[in-house]
Amino acid sequence: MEEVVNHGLPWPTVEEILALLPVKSISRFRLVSKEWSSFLVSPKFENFRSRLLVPPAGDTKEYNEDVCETDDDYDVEEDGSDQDEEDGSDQDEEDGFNSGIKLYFPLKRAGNPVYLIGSCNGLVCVRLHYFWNYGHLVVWNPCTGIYRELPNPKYRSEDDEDGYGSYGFGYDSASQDFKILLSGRCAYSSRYSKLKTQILSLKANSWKEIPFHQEVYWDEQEGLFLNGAFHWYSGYS
Amino acid sequence: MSITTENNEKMITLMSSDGEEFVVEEAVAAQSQTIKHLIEDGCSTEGSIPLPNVTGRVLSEVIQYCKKHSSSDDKEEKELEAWDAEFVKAADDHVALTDLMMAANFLDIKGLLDLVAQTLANMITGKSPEEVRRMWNIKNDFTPEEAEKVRKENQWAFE
Repeated sequence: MEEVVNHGLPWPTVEEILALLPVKSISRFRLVSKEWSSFLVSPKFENFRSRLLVPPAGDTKEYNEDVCETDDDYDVEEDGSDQDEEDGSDQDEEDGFNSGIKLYFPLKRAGNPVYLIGSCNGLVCVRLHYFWNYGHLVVWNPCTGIYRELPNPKYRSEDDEDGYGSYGFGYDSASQDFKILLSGRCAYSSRYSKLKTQILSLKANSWKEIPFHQEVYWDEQEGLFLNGAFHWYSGYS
Repeated sequence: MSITTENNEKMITLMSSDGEEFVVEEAVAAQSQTIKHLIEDGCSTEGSIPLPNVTGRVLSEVIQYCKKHSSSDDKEEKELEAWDAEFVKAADDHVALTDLMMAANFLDIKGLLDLVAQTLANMITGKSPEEVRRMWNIKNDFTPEEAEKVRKENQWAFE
């Protein structure tokens, strides 16, 4: 009897094809087989695919306004459909951006708010707020469901349970790395405490302090990542 | 086997898995990195280069592609794109495209690989997991419970 091949294509060529698919197909094809499923959620696939991405176009402004300005207690648990627009750019390509979709958010916990920091190149950065500790940072791919919990910043406010300073989430094309920037003061109560700016590299998975002393206006206002740079309102002159 | 034509082009002979021989200019064949390395290693001087993974039918298509792309330096990029589009259209169905993809992979011809990969990706974009399995004879190895979980996690993609 002739040997039955598992599929007509050698695996490396399957990878080539899958990397070219739009996100909706990628999500759907996780149901093809276990081999496909585990590849499609692997970091290898993420890297493979991000090589093909066009330079970042991370305009998250509209979404930021939608989420951050409406309700501090914004909660995925209660209304998962609010997460829809995070995937707007990809949806746009395939379906036209005219209807909401419900996404599965792996870290939802009843009653705990989720704050959006920003989205960029298909990844969403959120801060989860649990009542027993500071919020912690998570980067999430809403299409594959992969998420990664990130280390806490080196310097944190002692009296600000809401976190510290203003965050920004973006993609650094020079180092091909996603980065989170956090700028603010260590003590919430004192505007004269030292301003610290820290940056997290997703590749290194660690924070380091950088010399950036321009005050940003950070009252619940996250930095906007646009055209390869972070943008903030400038605060005190 | 290495012959030289009147134009001083070095010719080499490629032999498909089913024994068909193709005499092509070395410059054309060398678009395949695999063949290029074989030539560099001196394999082409000892008769024809055997390509055990590629049938004559597929090899003739591949050579057609390589010929077009090796003589196209001075041509308009647009024309070449149009030619590529016609080329994959002529391959007709996913079986022929899959054969081409495998040949391009084995022969290591990046341009052809990208072209066929994109064509196949376009072809399957709107398909269901069941249709994709049928296309490439992929075994569904999920239990019903596992399948349900994956489907739930990716519900939006099925709507």
